[in-house]
Amino acid sequence: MEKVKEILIPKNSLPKMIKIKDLIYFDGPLLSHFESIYKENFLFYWVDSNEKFNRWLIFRTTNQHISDYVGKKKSLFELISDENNGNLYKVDIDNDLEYNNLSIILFEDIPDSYLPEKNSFYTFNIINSDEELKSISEKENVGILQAYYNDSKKVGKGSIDLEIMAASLNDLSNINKGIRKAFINKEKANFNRSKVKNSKEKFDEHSLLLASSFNYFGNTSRSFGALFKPASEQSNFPNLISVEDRYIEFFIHFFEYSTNIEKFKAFIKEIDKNVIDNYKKLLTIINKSKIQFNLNYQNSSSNFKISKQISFTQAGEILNNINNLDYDNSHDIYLTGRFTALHLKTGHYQFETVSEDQKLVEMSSGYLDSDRKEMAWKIKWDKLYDVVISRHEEKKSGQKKPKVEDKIISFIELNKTITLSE
Amino acid sequence: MNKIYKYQSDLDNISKVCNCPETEYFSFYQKEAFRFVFEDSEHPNNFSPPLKINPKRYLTKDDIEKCQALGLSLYGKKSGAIGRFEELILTFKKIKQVIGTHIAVGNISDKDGHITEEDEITHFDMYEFENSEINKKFAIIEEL
Repeated sequence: MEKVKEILIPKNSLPKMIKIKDLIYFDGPLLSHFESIYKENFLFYWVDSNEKFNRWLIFRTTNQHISDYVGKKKSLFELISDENNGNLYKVDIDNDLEYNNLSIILFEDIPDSYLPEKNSFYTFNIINSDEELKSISEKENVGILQAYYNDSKKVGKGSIDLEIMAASLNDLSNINKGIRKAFINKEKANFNRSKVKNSKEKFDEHSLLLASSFNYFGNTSRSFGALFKPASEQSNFPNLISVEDRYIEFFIHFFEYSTNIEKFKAFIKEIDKNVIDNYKKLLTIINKSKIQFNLNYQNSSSNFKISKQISFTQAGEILNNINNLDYDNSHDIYLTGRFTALHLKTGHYQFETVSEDQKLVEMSSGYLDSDRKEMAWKIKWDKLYDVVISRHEEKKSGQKKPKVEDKIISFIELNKTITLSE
Repeated sequence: MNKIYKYQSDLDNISKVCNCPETEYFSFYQKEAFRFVFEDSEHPNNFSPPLKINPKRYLTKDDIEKCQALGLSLYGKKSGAIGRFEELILTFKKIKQVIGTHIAVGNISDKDGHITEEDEITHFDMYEFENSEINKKFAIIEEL
């Protein structure tokens, strides 16, 4: 390695930093963006190596300069030679990521072989790394879900064919609606099972709804990555899995298990089968556009992370699986709402939930079971009811749509009157 | 097609965080490929993936990065390899001492390993199978 004129400093002299992303990567990072705990931006620039160390120059810069560099408005030479950078550091990093020979070096003392050419403009793809997601999660103090697309000419550097993005995000949103419903039902069933008799404790459906809903808030640049965070104001506790983490795990399992027909059959027992229609649409986009679709989630506080990739060939295989899927299962759904139609003789009913949040309004139509039919005359239009619906879904291999039958197996009148305009 | 990879134990160690490389490979039969190498045909780095080269060039400990680092960088077209080298040398004047000084060409087959799909500059990774000896298939064609 080159001998340099330098002032050695203690190895802990640099502020604690987290990696934001690699800007240039070839068989390992070559130029990487870091941020210090004081929100200063640093670039780690590889310059040399020997049998023990890789040598890096580290210098302060600004987000604007990094953006100008990536946008090809400034060269790396302009960034490193900016006289406002302050100290320029040199470090030799070994296999164990130990910092050795940390020093301050003056710009005029940097050997020419350690400087980029004056026309060192950015011509690379930005790397979408896990660290980037982790650092966003740290900054936002919430778990972050990233949906990103790559491996296709239709996905460029930070851009994507609008039709692919719009259609796939719409399908993803619809899939989430269905999975969310199943998650809330599952939690509600668990709550009801474990509730102490006559306890006044209420199931907090609204906060669970927020924990399983997402807000879009930005994108990452390599290929195209859309970023989402839970709509809830989750409290993050170190190393403690949050309800949002648990929901994401449930959500990603839907995609994960779809590659194995038996696991998928078991998983979808409790899920509204309309979700599968939306999933088929998403898979068709992935397959036809020959893109890879990726879901990544990281919560830097609980240290929970989960991801799933679906390549276009896998999408084709899953589509085949779904077309050959046959199932015949029943599950219970717990709803609170009102009857909107009832035929006392046949027991046919229509029921809809009453919720302040339109997202939760759900409808069901079917028949009362024989015991409930006997008591149907007691049902009042202006009363709220807790009902348990047994939903039976059946699909034979090759059939496009499942046959769905709802049957009310329990209704309990609540001591609350509603106005019919509600 | 349950082949054992050359670096199977490393792949097993990261199997909990990623399913590398099973979901990534791209089907092929035979293919011409280009790689940066050193002139000395016995140079240990000539056909070693980044994780097996010392000193390792990392800035963080990340298992997913390890997966990428178990793939051997190859190019489908010579122009792709040369283009990448010309971009790198503008910014990293000493890049040759880590990636190599020459370009070599060889014919790889699906018996040598799984490969990823080529990117826009024809770069792809190969995850070699246990008994692959692709070093014997490559010959230097020019100096960088």
